[in-house]
Amino acid sequence: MPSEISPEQLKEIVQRAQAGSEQDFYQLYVVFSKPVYNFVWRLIGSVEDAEDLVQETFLKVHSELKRLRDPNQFRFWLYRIARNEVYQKLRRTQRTTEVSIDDEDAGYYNFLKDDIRQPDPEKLALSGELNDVINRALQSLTPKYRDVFVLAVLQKMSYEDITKIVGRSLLSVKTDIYRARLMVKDAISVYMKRSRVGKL
Amino acid sequence: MNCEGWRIEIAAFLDRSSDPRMSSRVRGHLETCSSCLEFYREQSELNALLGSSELEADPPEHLWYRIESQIAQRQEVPASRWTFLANLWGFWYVPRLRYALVTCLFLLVASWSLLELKSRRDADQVFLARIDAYELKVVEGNPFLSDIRKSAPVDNPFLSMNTATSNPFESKGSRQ
Repeated sequence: MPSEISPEQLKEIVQRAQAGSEQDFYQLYVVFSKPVYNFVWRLIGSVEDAEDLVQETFLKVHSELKRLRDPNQFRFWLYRIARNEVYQKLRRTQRTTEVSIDDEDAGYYNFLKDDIRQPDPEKLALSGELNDVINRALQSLTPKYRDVFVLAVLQKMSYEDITKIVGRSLLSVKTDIYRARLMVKDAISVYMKRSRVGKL
Repeated sequence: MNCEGWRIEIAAFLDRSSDPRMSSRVRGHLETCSSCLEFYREQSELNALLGSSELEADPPEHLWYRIESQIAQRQEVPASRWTFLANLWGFWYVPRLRYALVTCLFLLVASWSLLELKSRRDADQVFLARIDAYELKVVEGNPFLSDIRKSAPVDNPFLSMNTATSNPFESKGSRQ
């Protein structure tokens, strides 16, 4: 969970948003838009699609929030909606596993943090290249491996929480993350070797 | 546990999803197994590479305005008959309701077919009865045929015509 907010505070915000407070719904957007946006972006591999899917996710949250029985489950529920939106999109477009590098190049520099965007061109180039490498590695995974890997390694979510989002057993999640780790490591090993040499 | 089993646990350990007991067992195994230690190093490096906050992107500022305007638009549109139908369609995704609906449809079609069959049979009988009545009228209006009918042992005028001993086209005078 984003560190700025405690579970109790989140519960209260969710309850007020359920009662119809638009201000509290905006608070939920402020807290969760960044992690959900990164989650969706890593799953779909395209910035434009990620924007549309995050928009659809929050619209669905807004219309369905009153039906959420337990406000403590909000985070898992939100990620489940985002994940379903991504899967629906993937099914609709029958997207191949290859990532479109042009999409990444076009959109990447627009959404980087301001402090990254300006000062250090070398750093910018490196993180841009690394993002391409990561996205290509992620798109080579099947969706089953991709979502658990993104949640565990990039979003730093506990395995227990991941089981609540993906609806699979802890053992299955553990095994899938291990296999995804091996695949991603193979896919970006060249970059890892290069960065090791750079450090020396 | 074999090395693959240990590596699954090492991955969980790196992702901070091991319980304290398993974490100490993993540490113990890493001290004795060089290949698992190599796996641990590689995966730690991967974690360091991917865990950088510089790789995280901020959602664009216009995204909230897009969401806000969509919400406002949806609230302005009154619930139409299509919204009602769309809500009804949602019932299809409830398994029990779906089976009940399919069973009801089947019973409806089956009972309609039986009723249709019965009404057609009734209509046929009415039609046949009308033909009989018409034929009777024709026979009664014709003096020759009515004579034959009078002498016929059965009601059916055609049957009586066939079994009649007299020729219907022969006049009474000529017979005498």
